[in-house]
Amino acid sequence: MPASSPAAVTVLDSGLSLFGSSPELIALFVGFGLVVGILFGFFGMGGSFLVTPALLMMGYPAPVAVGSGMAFVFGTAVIASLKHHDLGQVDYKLGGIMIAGTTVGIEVGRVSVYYLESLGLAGGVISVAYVLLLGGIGLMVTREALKGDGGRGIDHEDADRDLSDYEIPAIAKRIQKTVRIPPMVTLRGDVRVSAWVITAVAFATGVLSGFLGVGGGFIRMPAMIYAIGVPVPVAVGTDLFEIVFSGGIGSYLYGQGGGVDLGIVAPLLFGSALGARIGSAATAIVDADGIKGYFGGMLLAGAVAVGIGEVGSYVGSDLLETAGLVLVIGSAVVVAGAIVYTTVTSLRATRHRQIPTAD
Amino acid sequence: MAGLEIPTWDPETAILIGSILIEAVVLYVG
Repeated sequence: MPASSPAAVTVLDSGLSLFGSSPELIALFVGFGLVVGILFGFFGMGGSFLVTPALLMMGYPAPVAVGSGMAFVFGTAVIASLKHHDLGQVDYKLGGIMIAGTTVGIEVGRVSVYYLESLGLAGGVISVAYVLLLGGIGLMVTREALKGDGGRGIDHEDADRDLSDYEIPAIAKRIQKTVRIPPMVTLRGDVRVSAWVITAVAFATGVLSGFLGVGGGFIRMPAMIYAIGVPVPVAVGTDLFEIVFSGGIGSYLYGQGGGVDLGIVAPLLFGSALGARIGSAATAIVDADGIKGYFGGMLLAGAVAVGIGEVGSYVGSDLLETAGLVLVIGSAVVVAGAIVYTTVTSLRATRHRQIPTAD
Repeated sequence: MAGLEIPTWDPETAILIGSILIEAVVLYVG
């Protein structure tokens, strides 16, 4: 159970819990935020995956775990958008259609959470969904790392690439040819696609966001590229632009229902902003490929952790629940620590090479 | 499924989300 005072629990009902958490809890959230930020700054993804499961395992009710996770995503999206203040090549028409679709999807996800909570099933269902999500993405990332594929996948540096060398993926071309339900819209990069395809993609990723409290970019960006045919630079910027709005509206709706706990979000965001600077700086020094395998392993450990925690909750074992929480936070700490350690050792090695030897 | 909600003006929630927004801006600038 959360270590906050009983007063914080009653304040939660009104949707405001301004630092109602104990100092130890705030310190824990700052530390966890730092770890999440390092991962996000380094890999460009993986922050929000861990927040909601950790909150669930700490005993927060599902609407608070998901709502606060979403508010955290909103905050980090605002910071990321400000960093890429020209946002590369945003397609505002695409962004606008996606904001509408994503927001409705988030609201559907949110209503589902509250409905399941009224049945006492929300924690269990969301935990199972996370086991599948973390396990699936963990397997994908680990397989990529073992194959030795170069690069970090889609990241925000791609926002600066030129549209002229872009080629629409075959699957997107097929979708554009097959689905011709009006209205058809023309997007940047000369992409002509049905607005319904865009809305469907946005809605589906919105439901994921609203139900799990994740940013959804890890699905929305590949979906924009492979299902809609959006050029990568446009996908990066437009995704950021639209999640600020849909995440903000989603957080607002969760907040109205008492799902956003400022005592969680504020320290998490603070820690993560610092961590993201460390993670980003590390990308210039450390090769991501070497650590990618650890990242995949961390996601897989996270899947196992959530599973253990959920079994513990089901059979009423505090030990298993605690073990799950320790594993999810511990695996994130190990990977973030690996990034920092490798950065420091690389810097030391560089400095030693620069020191002239006395002949 | 229970009705989807349309955001309505609620000062407390607006302050809550607004403070997260302000914190994000401050952290970016700082």
